[in-house]
Amino acid sequence: MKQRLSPLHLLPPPTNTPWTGGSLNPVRSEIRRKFGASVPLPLPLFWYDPPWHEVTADQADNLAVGVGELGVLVAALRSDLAGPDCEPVFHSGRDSESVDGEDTTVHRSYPRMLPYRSERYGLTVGDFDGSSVVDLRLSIQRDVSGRFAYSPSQIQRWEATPTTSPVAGGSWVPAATFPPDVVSIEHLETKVEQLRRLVDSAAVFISLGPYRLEKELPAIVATHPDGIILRLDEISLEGLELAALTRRARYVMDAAKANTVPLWVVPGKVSPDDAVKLIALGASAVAVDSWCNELIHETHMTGKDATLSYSSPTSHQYDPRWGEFAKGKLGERIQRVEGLFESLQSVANNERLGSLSATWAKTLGVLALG
Amino acid sequence: MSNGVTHAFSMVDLSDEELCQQITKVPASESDEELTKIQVLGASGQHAAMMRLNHPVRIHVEGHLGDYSFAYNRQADIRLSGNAGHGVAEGMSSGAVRISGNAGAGAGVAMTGGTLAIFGLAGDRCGAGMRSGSIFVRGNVGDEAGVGALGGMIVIGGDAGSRLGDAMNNVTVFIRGNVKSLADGVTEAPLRKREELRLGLLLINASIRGDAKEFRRIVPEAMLRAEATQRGEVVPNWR
Repeated sequence: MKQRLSPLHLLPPPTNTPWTGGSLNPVRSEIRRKFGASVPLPLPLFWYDPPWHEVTADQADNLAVGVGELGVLVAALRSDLAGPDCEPVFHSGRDSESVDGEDTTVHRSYPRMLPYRSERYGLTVGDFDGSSVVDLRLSIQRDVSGRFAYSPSQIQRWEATPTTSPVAGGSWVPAATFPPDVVSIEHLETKVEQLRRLVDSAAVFISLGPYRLEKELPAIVATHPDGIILRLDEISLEGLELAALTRRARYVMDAAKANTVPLWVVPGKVSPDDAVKLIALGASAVAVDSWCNELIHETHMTGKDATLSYSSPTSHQYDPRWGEFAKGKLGERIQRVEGLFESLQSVANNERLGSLSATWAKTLGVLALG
Repeated sequence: MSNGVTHAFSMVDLSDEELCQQITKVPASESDEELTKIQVLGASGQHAAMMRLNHPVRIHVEGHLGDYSFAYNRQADIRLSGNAGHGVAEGMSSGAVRISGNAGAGAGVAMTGGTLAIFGLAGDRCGAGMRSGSIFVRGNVGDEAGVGALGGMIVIGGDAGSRLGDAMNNVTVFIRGNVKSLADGVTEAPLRKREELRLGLLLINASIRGDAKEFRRIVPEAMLRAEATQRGEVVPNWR
């Protein structure tokens, strides 16, 4: 896999550092909320924008569970994964055998991100229940043509419309630029508060693009979200640009007195090493859509004959083979993230990264090696 | 308690969570015709009030409320004697919300059912992203009413601002007053007899005075073309 941040190196501790055992399961963390209990986060990894409509609802539900089983936070609406009369397994959770070998079952639920888009297409009130993170998405959706729009198949999945009378006659539907019920960024705070009230289990995040960071990020931070998600996947970025924007966003947030507010990044294609380097640069979690979307694309390619409409009126059943499929594709990469992340813990924050490139070292403020 | 009100609560004495719990505890009427009546006092601009109600009762709220009041309402029949802020009745899926005064921006945004009636004025982007249900505004609406709406109906008793019906899909707007500008792809169409009858009935149900004949119909051009074709023919692509 291409290493976008290859000129950056994750450094070991200095040579004379005494031998200490690593901390237990350091990748497991919590999202601290402004109000309410912290939200557990099993891994610093999330699947930000899965193209669920490219596979059947049954397949999407199974894939969401399969990836959720691995501890990755997954974004999904109910309407992404099931028709109006069916409860997705991913949302309801499922009973599985106890891991301690006893003859008991435990109810397993999955960390879930609720994508709260400006248009709210496909969103139903039940989506709020039990979500871990609500993501108020201020970034605008582009379709494959480059328009700010949603594809017909996406809208059909969300709105469960019959194929004979699709929304907009089967054409694309324009995407919103900003929530229509919010009059300005300054008024966004009441929207954040509303979402907190709607979902008392969740942390409220706001996601935005990197285009006007210096102006927009402080204004967004001032609305007091529990976290920020920076979308760096919408434009083609060189590795140094990706690293610098992550670093810059963290600096801007720190300067806005939001140094305890998590910054999550959506970097586009990255390797496990890149993901951990982004964390060392200041991100708290990294989107691994490039890994997880492979599951969708492979499923799509092997099941082209299946209907992609929502119409699965019966209850979904989870087939554990989907979990094996997800584990087979993602397991090693997640383990690599866990291992590298664990190794970071024995190194001081400002000594975790270095570069042999003077440009990289200077731009990012990391140790110049050599 | 007068006017058949059987329960009264105060927003001064109760937190919003407590208020919603108390409302939910009130036994629903056995008759669909005569809902149990609840009075809520002490509204004074609170944001996000009484969201996610899901109980078939009639609630009368006295005073003004802030943003996102009655969001995601189901079943409850609510009347607010006062003004509402932005995003009133966001995501409502059933029941009714009636506002005696004005409403801010994004009234009825992302509604999927039910009825929102505003007896004063509504701000910009009224009915944005709505997917079903009905919105009635007795007075004027601001700019971009119905933007991105996929379904439902908007009735405007007064004037509309600019870009009415922008990116609107399977939605019909009935308007009595003037329109500053229509968005690209929407057009004024004749009010057909059956719509006149339907609108008349809806006006009665929403307690809005007036004759359906006074209204004009605004629809997407593609919807008009689809109407012109006979049922069973290819639905025109809208873009």
